[in-house]
Amino acid sequence: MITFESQLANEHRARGFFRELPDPQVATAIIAERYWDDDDQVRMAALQTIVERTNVSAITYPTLGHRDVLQVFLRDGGGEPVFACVLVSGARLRDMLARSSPIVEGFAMQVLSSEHLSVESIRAALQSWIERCFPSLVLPNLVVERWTGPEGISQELLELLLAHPVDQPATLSATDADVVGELHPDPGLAQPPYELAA
Amino acid sequence: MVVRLCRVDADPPCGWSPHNFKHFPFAGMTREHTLPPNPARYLPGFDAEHIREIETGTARTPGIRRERTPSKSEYQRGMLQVIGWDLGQDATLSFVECAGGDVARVFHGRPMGIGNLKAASF
Repeated sequence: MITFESQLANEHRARGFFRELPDPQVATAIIAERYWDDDDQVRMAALQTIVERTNVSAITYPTLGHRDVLQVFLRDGGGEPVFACVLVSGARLRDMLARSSPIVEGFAMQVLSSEHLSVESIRAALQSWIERCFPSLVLPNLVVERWTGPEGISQELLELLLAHPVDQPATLSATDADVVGELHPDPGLAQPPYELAA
Repeated sequence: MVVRLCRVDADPPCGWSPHNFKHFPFAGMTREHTLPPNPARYLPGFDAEHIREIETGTARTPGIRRERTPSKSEYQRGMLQVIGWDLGQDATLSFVECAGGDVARVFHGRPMGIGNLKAASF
């Protein structure tokens, strides 16, 4: 995979991923052509208003059939979701490139630095997207939530709960303490429905 | 003026692009997620293969091409059924755009509602 980075006339940065070494002028032209479409340009104004705030709330949804492709929405001042970009894992990028070359990381897509999804890589990718597409802005504080379905809880909250077990009250009998010690997370929470369906 | 025509069946052909999955359905999706300025979405149940078939079929349908610019062709086809949501409404049209110049020309599409100004202007 050949990665070609380009800075556009508006100072936005974009990358093109190629199967074979491209002519630099051709690569630059392709990246500029595919950087964004009309809808992206219309949506940019709403997104800029959001990312200019000090605190920004984002929620990521797994694409059906492609759980390593996340659809990211930012919440505007009224709490309404505004589509920001698609995050794809490194593994997904390789799959996309195998099917079609080149792939352009434009306004509506950000490639994770890691091969697979993780809480850290999602946050880092979203920060990279803001820096790349809104180069003149100061990076806001990001709260990133992963959608897990109406019956699930967020992955971050689950990890927090598992990392900090509930203290056992002093009044528990020996039998109760044994029961507490055998508690396991609800499998329905540990493996949310969407992951099974994906 | 040179008009670069779409070459779906030519050699080399224009390739289909999932357009970064921007119009693909996702878990937890509601109509509100397709309100402006958000992208239209295919309904849950439309996977990549189905979406590719729809969009390729639209680009191959004769007599529905519009040359928007010398390097960009557009196609619009009525699907006679709801295939997605656009502007928060049911979308029954398949809209495809083919662009990219001569070197790496690709086409991609999206569901479109009849209330969309783009559809009305077609």
